[in-house]
Amino acid sequence: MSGASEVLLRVYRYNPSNSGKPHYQNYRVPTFRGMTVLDALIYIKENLDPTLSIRYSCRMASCGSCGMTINGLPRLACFTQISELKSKYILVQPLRNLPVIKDLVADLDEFFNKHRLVKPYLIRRDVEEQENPREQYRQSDEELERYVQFAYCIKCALCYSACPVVSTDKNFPGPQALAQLYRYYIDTRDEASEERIRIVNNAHGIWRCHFADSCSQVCPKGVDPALAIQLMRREMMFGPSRG
Amino acid sequence: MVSERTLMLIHYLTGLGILVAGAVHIGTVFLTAPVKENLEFSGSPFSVMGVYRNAILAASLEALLLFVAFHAFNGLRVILIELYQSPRWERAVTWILTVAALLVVIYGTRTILIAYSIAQGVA
Repeated sequence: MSGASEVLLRVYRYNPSNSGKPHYQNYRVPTFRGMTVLDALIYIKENLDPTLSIRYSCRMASCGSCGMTINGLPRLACFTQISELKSKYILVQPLRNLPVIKDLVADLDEFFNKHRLVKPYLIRRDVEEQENPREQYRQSDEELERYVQFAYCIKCALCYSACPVVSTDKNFPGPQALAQLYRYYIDTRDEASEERIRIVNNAHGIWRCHFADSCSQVCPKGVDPALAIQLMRREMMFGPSRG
Repeated sequence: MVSERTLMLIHYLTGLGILVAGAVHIGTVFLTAPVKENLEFSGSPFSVMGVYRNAILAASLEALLLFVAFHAFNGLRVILIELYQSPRWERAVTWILTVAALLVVIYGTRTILIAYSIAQGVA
């Protein structure tokens, strides 16, 4: 650490187990070039306050564990440099639209349950081939391009946290689940198109998206869930277009 | 039970229908004659009542009524079921709004028919 400058982190603190009320705590953290918000939080945990709870793993925007609300926007703490925030004051809160386990750790059960709901895996009817595979399922480059960007999802829940519909309708699957639904629907190896449509063709399903586009704005991997939702709606409205 | 897909398809189509029928309505009522004359029941071919003399224009007004009634009440349904979620609430919202939409359509159709018959009598 150079210690040349420092930043003030205002961190959301909440521990449901001791029935305390949510509050904010300020920490002054010395910064260095390239320092991320996650680095700052780890500094706090190691040097200032070991009771602070954070969740992280890979530190390289691959695992999606350190999602939190930083200066009002859902971001990955490991993928957000202090310098890019252009502020000496950083507000750090847990992800919105999800219950809090402790401090900055959001409970992702609801999010993963909705992800599971859309059956995020290939469904095939050729049981014999599945049990005793003999050859590959071939796809052209064009067929791959139709879904590959949606396959980059790391399930960090930032889009879910940013979605205005999820905040009012708890039964709405959310952008991540709907994008994954489209990702498998449009995959030429998948054989469960009708089944997938049935999952989201209801009063709280895919039609409730307002197309606010906030999900696509916050995705750290460049996935565009809003596009997937619109394409899926088109498929459902005008029939299948996949070849 | 009508699927959500069908409801939304009708929702989008009625939205387009409102644009078309609304344009016809505004065009015939406000653009074909001076406003002052339009707002009076004078028996003039360009007055508001005069529009009803033409069965096609009267039918387009009825279409506009149907489009607006479906689009507005379905939109309200969508807003209400998003605000609060429970099967009982959703059933109540759906039924109440369906009845309300029917009442609006019945009242509006009655008004159009009366106006049409009056206009026919005047002519």
